[in-house]
Amino acid sequence: MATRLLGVGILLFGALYLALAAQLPMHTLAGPGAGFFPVAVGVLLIASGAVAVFARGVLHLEPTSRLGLAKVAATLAGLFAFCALLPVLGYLASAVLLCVAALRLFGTSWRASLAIGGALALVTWAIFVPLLGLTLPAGSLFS
Amino acid sequence: MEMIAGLAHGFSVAALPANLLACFIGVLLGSLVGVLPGIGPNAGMALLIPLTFAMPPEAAIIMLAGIYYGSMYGGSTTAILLNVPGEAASVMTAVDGYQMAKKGRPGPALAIAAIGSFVAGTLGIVGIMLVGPGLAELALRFGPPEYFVLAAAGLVFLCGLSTNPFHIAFIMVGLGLAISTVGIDPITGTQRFTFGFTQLAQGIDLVPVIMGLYGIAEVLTMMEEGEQKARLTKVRFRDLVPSWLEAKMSFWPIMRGSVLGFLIGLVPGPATVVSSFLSYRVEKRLSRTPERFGHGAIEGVAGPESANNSATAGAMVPMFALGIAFSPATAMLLAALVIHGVQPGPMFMLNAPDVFWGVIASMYIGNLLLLVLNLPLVHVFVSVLKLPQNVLAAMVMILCLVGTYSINNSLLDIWIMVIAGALGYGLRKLKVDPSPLVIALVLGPMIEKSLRQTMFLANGEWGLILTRPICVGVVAALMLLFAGNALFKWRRRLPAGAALD
Amino acid sequence: MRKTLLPALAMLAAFTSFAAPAAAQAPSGAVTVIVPFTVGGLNDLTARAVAEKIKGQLPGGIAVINRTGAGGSIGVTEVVQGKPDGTVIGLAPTPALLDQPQMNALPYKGPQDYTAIANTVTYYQLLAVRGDAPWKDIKELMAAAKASPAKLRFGTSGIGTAAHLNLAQLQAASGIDVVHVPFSGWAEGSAALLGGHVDTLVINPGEGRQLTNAGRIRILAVFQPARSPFYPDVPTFKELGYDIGVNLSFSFFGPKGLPAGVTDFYAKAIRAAVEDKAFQDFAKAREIEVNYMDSAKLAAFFDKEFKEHTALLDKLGLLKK
Repeated sequence: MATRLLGVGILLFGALYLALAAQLPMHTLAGPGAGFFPVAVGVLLIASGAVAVFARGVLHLEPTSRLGLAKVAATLAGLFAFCALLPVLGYLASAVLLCVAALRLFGTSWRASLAIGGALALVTWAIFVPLLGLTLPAGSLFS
Repeated sequence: MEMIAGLAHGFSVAALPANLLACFIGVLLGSLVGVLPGIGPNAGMALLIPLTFAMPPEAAIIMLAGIYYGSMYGGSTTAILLNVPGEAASVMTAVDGYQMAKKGRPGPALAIAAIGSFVAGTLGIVGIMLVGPGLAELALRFGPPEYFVLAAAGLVFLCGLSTNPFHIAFIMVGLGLAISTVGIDPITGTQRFTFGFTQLAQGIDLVPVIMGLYGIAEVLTMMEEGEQKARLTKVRFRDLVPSWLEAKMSFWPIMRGSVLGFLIGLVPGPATVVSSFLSYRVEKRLSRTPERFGHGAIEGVAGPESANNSATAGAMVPMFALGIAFSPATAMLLAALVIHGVQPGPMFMLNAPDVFWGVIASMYIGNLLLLVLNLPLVHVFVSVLKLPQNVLAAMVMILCLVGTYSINNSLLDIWIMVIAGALGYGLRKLKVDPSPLVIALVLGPMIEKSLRQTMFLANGEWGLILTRPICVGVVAALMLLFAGNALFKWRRRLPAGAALD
Repeated sequence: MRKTLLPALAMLAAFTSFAAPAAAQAPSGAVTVIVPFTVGGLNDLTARAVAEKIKGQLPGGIAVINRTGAGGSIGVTEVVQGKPDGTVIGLAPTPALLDQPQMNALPYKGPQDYTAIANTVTYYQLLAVRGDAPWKDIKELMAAAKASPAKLRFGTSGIGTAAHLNLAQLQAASGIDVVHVPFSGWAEGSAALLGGHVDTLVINPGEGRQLTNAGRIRILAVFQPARSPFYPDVPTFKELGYDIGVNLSFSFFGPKGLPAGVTDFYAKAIRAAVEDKAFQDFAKAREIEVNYMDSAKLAAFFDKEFKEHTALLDKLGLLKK
């Protein structure tokens, strides 16, 4: 069942990809253009999806507890929030927020979460910014 | 004799205090960017190039080269301990290295990785001196048609190492190739699948995808399990050093990996990544107990880790011998040489003996420094596993995010990483191995470019391909290999007695 | 005494700078110079050399940042979208500024979307063959190309690059029919040339110097109106009767609407930097020529080049629809 669903998903994705690829120029004056290879890949994707749809089911979704799945979903949401907040809040604040949220999901106490989150954010910042001389976003809110 | 005199002169240059210091800083920084997930040798070298403007050329190149080969030592650390490859070249190390760590043998895995890297690095330098120039000329005989055949065959061959059923591997390859086409077309400059985002035009980088598929997926799995206990409570000394058996089993994989890596380093393309995949495949093929692979086989750590190290040496051959760089890292070394008015190429050894032999000698010293640096660190690194898992999960997450952001200072890269993380987690739940996707993403651009260049070259006359002896030879060799492989498999399927009939 | 003098001086300074807005005026705040190509390349080194020279005139400091990818258009876009107060400027070669927006949908369409500040260096490309190639000079090569159409293979650094435009001009002017093989840059192309996979390669000056000295490659002609001082024995295509040659120029530019005072300040500072002995030596080592143009001259140059390239790209079918 899982294989079949995956196959259908790939079929749809492949069709969309092929439709976009077909709009790219297939030829230049002297040879294959930008669309040549993507069109071939699109055909390959559709073929692979079709094989999966008609193949016997071999994939099985590993059972996951509701709670586990909720935690994973929350973590992903936290990661996406981090990406969105990074340019606004800057690295240190976003990192502390993300760490504390993740640790709280683990059931760590507030106090330990804050301490660990703060320490992790500071140590990584110290390695990357002063030591390696890289730049991390300072946050548009504070500048 | 000339070579020995040259090398002796090189050591007298490399042993100058300033150059020793440059070497030390280089390998130390290389180890650091190697250990940190995401950020790798290219970013590390880009950071230091402006600083080297003011140095004498020997010191500058010694330091930059140190970052390059040093990073290959560090990349295995997080792969083994946390299942998070520090570099793309350590993806295969994570497979068996992490299983070894789970079984309480993280120390031997780290130690063998360091020793393998040392042996391969040292052999690689010998290779540069002895056979480098000749092989560089030979590598020139390979043109777009040969690259295409090699890369396409490599894709098929390497996908055989995944544990996926055929049609699943097929899907993974398709996805990987599709991702590789995003961004600017290398030949015509047309933007593809960018949906108006200029940032997407630089393409989807390999590193964020790997960090997501492996690193973020690992964090999500830890979240789901919600385990707070540490993975390792006590570190005993005998768990740190490889046993005699482990050392013996690693010997040939290290040797084979060294040769393989060096040869692959000679041709254009992502040599360190490809060589580590290929070495893993070869070891699994040659092993009498291939079923141990994926469950903590030391050969699966020794081979790839050696291969990716000697690949860095191999990649320096075309640069030293011809003045041509095939990878971003060697391109940066080349740029640094040119900045200092040293032109590598056929006359390099004669025109700038101080730089050439100094750098070669420093690489011997640097590899030794790395070994001395890394072996005692095994104990420190293993101690990371004594951290409770909640702290570990937060740490891995933050390191992946910062490391990936720092490569290009790109917000888009971390979005890609998180999306790849969600995908990687889903694949884990389905027990699908994502490695064919990674291989396709690595080889896709090479396949596309060489295929299209071949079509430009042929200009409609396909008979041309048949007139290229190397191309025909490569195809014939590959067909033999595949046929032999099929025969081997078929015979193994028969009961032992049947084969005799 | 000192207590009263200092504020008075400060006021005087503030007053004079306020009273003369049209004069050259340094931007306030930290300046970022965006380079759309990698560290250590010609673009990067030129930017760093100039930045180092004008650092002293900028109290807020100046930093060079590499924003690579997409033929330079990512870095140029970042400059174009920056605040037009002089704190964000860029240095980019003509293809990124003029050709990229004509071939792809980008947030900038052409010279009207950025402010020309000053040009630094200009160079022209060369046509190279293998050292042991059968053609003694460019005349023999052209004759061979004419004698066997669609046989000789000419390599370039990619479709739509200056090298491709040069080759296209040569084909149009001389009527030769050759096979074009696009590579992605010097590394790939030079390996293919040395390995005999292509017969000629269009290269940048400087790149092939070592291979030329070692006899592995020979330069047959330059795509330049006059002979290059670095290759005095190599004829120009113009001498053969083909008036062709696309130049590559590295220009400083800023967002659209940069105040005239700021543009002026930079142009003056850049002029001093590129006329400095150290910069001249750097240019000589890379076999390129220092070619300073001020803002007005550069803007006119952009307009002229843009129109010429439009015609060329159109002929090649590369213009964005």
